[in-house]
Amino acid sequence: MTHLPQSRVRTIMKTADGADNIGKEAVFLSTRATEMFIKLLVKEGYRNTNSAKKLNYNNLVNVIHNKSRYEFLEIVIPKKITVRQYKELMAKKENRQQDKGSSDEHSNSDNDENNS
Amino acid sequence: MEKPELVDDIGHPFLSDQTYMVQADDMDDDGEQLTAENTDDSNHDGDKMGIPLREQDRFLPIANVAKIMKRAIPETGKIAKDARECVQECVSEFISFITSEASERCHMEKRKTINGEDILFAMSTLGFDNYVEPLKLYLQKYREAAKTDKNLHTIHSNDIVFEEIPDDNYNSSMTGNILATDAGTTETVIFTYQQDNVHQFQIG
Repeated sequence: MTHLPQSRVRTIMKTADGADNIGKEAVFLSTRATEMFIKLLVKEGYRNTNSAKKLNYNNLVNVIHNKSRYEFLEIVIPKKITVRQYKELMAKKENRQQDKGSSDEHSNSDNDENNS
Repeated sequence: MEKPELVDDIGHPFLSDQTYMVQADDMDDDGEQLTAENTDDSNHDGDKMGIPLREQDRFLPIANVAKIMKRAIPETGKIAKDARECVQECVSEFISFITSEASERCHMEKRKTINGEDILFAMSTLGFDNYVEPLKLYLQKYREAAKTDKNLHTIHSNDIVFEEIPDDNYNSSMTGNILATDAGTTETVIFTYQQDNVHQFQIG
């Protein structure tokens, strides 16, 4: 059975706020818990592939952004979007600003956005 | 002498003289990581003295992470490289997350050292309460192993080692492993070995 190096786990634990002294048992349990965590996350990610047999970044993203227990990871593991999607997103933002009663100039630039 | 060399060649974790891992199941392998220097906080005050962590120290080794990941999927499954790196980052985040919560509890109870109970409490609070029971079992085994190791050290100075050890232990899986490597010379290996280290893995 593969285990993770406790010394490294300890190093990472020490980066947490308020973690000054960490007992041996705490390091040990954290190491085991981490192993369990990896298995859990990967299992759920794999399920997300819908028998595609390859676990991709996006499978993990889907799990993380849809299950409340992984909320703490949402910032760390952002959703990936394509450039096109980004532009569409920005266009939508522009549209909303327009609706708030801004001047005609905005509609011109808005057209430019949509043409891309 | 060839016998110590043979022992080194086998390279099985329990052959090192620092071993805690008598139990065959999950207490083996990385015992060498569990040295006094590694786990004793007082030697590591330097860690937090404003020395920035190198990139690689902030994460667990990708190879270890990848191995565990592989075990969680079927044989035929594959894992993309960015998925591996993703999990590697998630894991560091997880560790910090749990530790922060545990340290809060620790401080609330006016203690200075985060202990096992704090970690278990954090697991439960943060939505991983299904881990708590298995972790308690691990903790129990860990404590038992630590206890027997303490006993080992006191026995070591006496020479009653052999009397303490019932014969059937020689047929345990550990010696079985030794036997598997080289039938011819094994017997001698065991005997010499016993004189140095055997008490460490016979017990428990």
